[in-house]
Amino acid sequence: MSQEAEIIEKLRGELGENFIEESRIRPNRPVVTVQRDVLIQALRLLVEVFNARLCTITAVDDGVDFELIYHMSIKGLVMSIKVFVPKEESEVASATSVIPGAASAEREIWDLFKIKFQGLSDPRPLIVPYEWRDVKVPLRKPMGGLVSEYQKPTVETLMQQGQVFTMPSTVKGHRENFKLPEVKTTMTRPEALKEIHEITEEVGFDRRIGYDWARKRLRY
Amino acid sequence: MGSRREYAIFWGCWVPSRQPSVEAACRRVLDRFGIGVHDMEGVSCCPDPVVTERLQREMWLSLAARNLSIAENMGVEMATVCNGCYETFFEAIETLRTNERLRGRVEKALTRIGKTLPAKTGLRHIVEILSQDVGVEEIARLSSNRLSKLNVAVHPGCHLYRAKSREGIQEKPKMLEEIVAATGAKTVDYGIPRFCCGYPHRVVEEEFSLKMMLAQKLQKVWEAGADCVVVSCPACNIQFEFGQLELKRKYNITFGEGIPVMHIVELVALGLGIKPEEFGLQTHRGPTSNIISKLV
Repeated sequence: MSQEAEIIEKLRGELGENFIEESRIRPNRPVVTVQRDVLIQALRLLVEVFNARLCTITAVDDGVDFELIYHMSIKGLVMSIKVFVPKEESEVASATSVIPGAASAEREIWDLFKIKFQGLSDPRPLIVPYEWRDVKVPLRKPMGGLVSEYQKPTVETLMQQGQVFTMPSTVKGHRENFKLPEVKTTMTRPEALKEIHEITEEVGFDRRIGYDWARKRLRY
Repeated sequence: MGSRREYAIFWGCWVPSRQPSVEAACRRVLDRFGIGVHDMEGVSCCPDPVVTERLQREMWLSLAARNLSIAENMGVEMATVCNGCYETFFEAIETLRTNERLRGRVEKALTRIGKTLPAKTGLRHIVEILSQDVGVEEIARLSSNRLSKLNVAVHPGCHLYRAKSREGIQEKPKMLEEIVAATGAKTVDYGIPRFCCGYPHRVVEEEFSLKMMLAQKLQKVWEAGADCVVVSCPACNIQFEFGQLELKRKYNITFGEGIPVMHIVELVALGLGIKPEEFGLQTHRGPTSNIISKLV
């Protein structure tokens, strides 16, 4: 088993359902996405079991979530651990409990994106003036995703009932008048709608558009 | 399912919940011609070939494949009354056939819900069914001359030009024109039948969609003296009907009392002598009196 396969296997075993997926930027350049709650556990495993070293941390603002990508060097292999941080919360555990040297990267990201690193012992601004803290945030975009204002009702209705239009009472009346049969779509078949939601999760459409399952609405 | 032609009809989102008259007319017309209609159980939006496909191709393709899979399990070809649905399924069938990576992603998604990849689902647009299964001669034979005073502007809609080969792109629009002629209605030449109605542009810029697309087309239709526009797509229908209301309200642009719009199945129904009130022509959001007053 290669070093890369061994590390990924170990991460998968330790993190269980919190191991979301593995992908490749290119051959021999793996990225493992994990749940935000187990970020420190994943980093600790890489550091303590495989003697990993943190190269740097990349932050990406995709509109509704931040991606934080921890690039780890492990005996010639560079592997990245990726977590998503919801913009509404903008908080994540500091890696300094495992990697003290992460402090400077975390302070820089705090300055530029306003992501709070819980447990960071020295949270002072690093590269922006003190008075900018939480007021001027150079690289943070406004909350917003792929779906435009005009498209929101269409996309939300698709997620809620699998069809892009609701059935108005007037049309229901017309259907009865013209003796049209019952509509047998996901609109009226909960088991079929459940299939649509499973597909949505499987392909990651919910994350891509920033859908809030609890509120049944887009997050922006 | 017997020897007569049978189809799994994919009604889409627009028709059942916004244009029941199209569904009612289609059922009556196909019944008149002895073509079997089977409703599909548990289908979703096709999904639309503009918004959903742009947001995520895997999601768009997976939902389309699931709908195709339902039709395949019914053992008959799938038929649509909507250009947009036709575009989605046409593209989905070709993509599943040729794109190994996406096929793999979709197969995984379908496996999760206990469904399999569709392998041989046939797809027909209602225009093809009327032209090829029924035949324009048969439509002409059964049509009375009650539409002989009706002047029609035919709007095929962009996705009706979808074809596997360059040579085939005019086939379905030509079929549509021939069907209109077979009903006894007169087709007017307004010069820009292929010009888009502007519906897809709404998702980017509504004012452009209404003023620079729809109004330009309607102006030509109006100048050509058409009594109504005939479409083969519910989305175009909505754009023509609601768009005229919006043009009047927002920009004070009007075309007489409003130019009526009909789906081709409604025109065929009228040609066959089915009364407008039987399938609900009056439930359109736009005016229909121009049409009814011209019936002989």
